[in-house]
Amino acid sequence: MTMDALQRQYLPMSETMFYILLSLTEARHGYGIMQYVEELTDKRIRLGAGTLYGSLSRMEKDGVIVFVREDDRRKTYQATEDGRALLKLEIARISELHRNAMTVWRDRDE
Amino acid sequence: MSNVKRVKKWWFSWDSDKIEQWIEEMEAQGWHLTAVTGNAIHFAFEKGEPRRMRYCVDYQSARNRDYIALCQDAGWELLYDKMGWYVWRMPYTDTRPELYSDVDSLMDRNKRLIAMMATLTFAQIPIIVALFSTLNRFPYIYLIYAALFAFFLFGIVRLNAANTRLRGRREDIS
Repeated sequence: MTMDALQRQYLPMSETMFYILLSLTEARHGYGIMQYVEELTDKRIRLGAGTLYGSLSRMEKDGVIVFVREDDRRKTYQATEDGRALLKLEIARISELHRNAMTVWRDRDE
Repeated sequence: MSNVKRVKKWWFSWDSDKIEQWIEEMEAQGWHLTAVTGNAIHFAFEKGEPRRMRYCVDYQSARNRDYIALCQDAGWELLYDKMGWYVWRMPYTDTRPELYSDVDSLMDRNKRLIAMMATLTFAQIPIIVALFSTLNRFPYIYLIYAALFAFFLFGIVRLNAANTRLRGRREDIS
């Protein structure tokens, strides 16, 4: 897929996609992703196994992540260059949201 | 009173959450599901303590060991696995666990079901064409086909409606 097509399909990112891709900046297997995302979000997000499986299959097909190795039936994946580029764009978008939220909301004490 | 119960219960592929709820209610009354057989319509139960058990029925277009491994890692126990259909369960205390945690993946599952039913429907057409002259000697067979088409069409319409609702929910959130 071209970067243009990837951007159209993945941006803005759902929380699920964002956290999976963020986890895969380092090589991890599915269950490792689940635990890592739960830890990062203080148990707010518990990825369903069906959701995670479907997302990983789609992302691998689109070349956003790549299969690295398999040990003990567990498949390990990592983000590709395209995946990291998407993540960077999404982080820039979220940072803008955050900046604007702070600028507008800062003085309100609610 | 018998400690074992066998129930035959029909359910529609587009209404799998109804069968999940039914089994979960049986479990809450102390009927532990011990086996699912015969195209997932025969259910065997054994009397025990009431328990909170989450059941999930899922459909994957192909048998897939990666999917099975991931679900088992996440704590799901596999009870049934045939023709792409899976029945999973997991005990819980407070939060009812889900196999699908976001709207997009639920819509994808519904799309897999739609594709499967559309394939089954269209697969009938070459059969009808090939057997046209034979079938014509038994005109009532077309009634059966009409019923079959209506059945799948109804399922496809129901799943489409479910996805339209899900899409609306997603747009409300984001």
